[in-house]
Amino acid sequence: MDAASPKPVSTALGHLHDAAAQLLASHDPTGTRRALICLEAASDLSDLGVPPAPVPGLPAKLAIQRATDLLRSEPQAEMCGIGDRLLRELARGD
Amino acid sequence: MATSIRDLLIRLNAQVRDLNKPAGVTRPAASIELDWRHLASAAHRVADLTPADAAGHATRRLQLILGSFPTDPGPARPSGSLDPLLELATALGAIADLLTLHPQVSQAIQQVAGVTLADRLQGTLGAAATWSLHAQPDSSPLALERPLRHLAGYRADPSPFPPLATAAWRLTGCNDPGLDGAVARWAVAAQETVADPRTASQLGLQLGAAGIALICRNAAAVAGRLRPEGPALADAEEAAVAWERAAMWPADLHLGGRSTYLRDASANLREAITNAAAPGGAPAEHQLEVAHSALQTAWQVGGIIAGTLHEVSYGASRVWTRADQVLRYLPSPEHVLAATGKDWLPDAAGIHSAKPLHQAATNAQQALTKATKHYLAAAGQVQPPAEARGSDQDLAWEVTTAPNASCSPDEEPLTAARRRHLSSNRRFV
Repeated sequence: MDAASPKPVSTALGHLHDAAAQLLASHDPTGTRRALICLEAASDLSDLGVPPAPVPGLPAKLAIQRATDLLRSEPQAEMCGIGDRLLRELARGD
Repeated sequence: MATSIRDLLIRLNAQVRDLNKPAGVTRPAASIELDWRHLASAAHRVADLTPADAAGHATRRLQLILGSFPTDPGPARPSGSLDPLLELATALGAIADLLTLHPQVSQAIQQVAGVTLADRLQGTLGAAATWSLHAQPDSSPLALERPLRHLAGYRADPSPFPPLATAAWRLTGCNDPGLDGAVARWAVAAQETVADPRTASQLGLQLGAAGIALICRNAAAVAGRLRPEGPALADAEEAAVAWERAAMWPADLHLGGRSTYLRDASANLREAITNAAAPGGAPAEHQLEVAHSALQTAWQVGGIIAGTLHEVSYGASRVWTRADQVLRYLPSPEHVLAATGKDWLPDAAGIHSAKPLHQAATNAQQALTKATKHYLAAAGQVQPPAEARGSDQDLAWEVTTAPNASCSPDEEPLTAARRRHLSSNRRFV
């Protein structure tokens, strides 16, 4: 795991981990559900072999927005799909 | 299809009721004796497995009587529709199978369930023995007449609905609809993903822990809707908070690996919980049964997660730590060299960086054990909502007696009620 070049997807994964931790720490049912959605998206990225990169602390909503922006700006359709799905699931309220 | 001992007792009650109807049927003595081998064997299993000391002397006497029945299944029975005795044997056999589940339940639940089971078993065998003695043709006496006469002395409990405590023994399957099936599939996926410490991943463990937290949140919501003042709500919320903590991994730890299977099952679980909470759902008692059943499954998964984290923390650690953190507590020249140009470093020998995670999971499992153990007892005393009960005025018809309805002191309540009903109908003819 080289530190040389933190890739945008690694940064996105870092933001998702950060957002999930904040949502879990809120200790309310909606927060737990949203944290699970973030962890599911993080799992999608992790399965592709992406390591998490260190990220600056942001509020959960902003961290998720930053993660989806990074994913959707990636050329691979797979990454865009993960970002789209994340936003869709969060919007649905599940 | 999900089933509980409570469901089976309700079915058993209907079978006994059918058995008590005077049908005037006769069966060959050999057929009755053959069916009793199965019935006695299934009843013996239930009596042996009945929890706690609730069984008492009455059940020990029953076991002695059942011991006088032949235990071998005897010659094969011709296939076809089941005789009433075999239907009873099937239901009792299923109850015995469920009793081997060993759910996490309190002593109080075991006591209530034990008393109910012992009582229903005696009543069922009493009805079956009475039916057998009447169904036997006079020309061919039964070899088992003596034990059957002993059993015929038992009376069935007329109450059709056993206490909710008997729903603690509940079996669900992956093909069940709704939350039952989603929880069962999630549990299988969680076991596949996190049970092996050599392949378990951080996200697998996090998804598992967060899934348990969500199941606890659902149980708390059900308890809150039905019995907000009871301890079931507080206990389930406490367990949810503890598992939320266990799902939080610090940013400086990482454990790679795949968790695809659990990721999909987790999304499915999330959706099923949302749907189950939708208004106009199942009746209160069923919601409690399903929520309790999900807690039991979550408790099993929680044990697996805590066990894996123990291995990950204290065994040969696969955990990676952020390089700057390693340098903070191991500033030796070798580590400085190893960390140069790296983001992450594996745990060195003797370093247990995941120890706090194991502690959090252990604490969470303790909270979940408490919540699961007492959930049905704490949330089970459910009163129907006010609108379902209706006002006193709505219920006035229940206390009105029909004119000229006299009730003989030795008349059976059901017979008296039926006679009153017929006489009140006659007035309108």
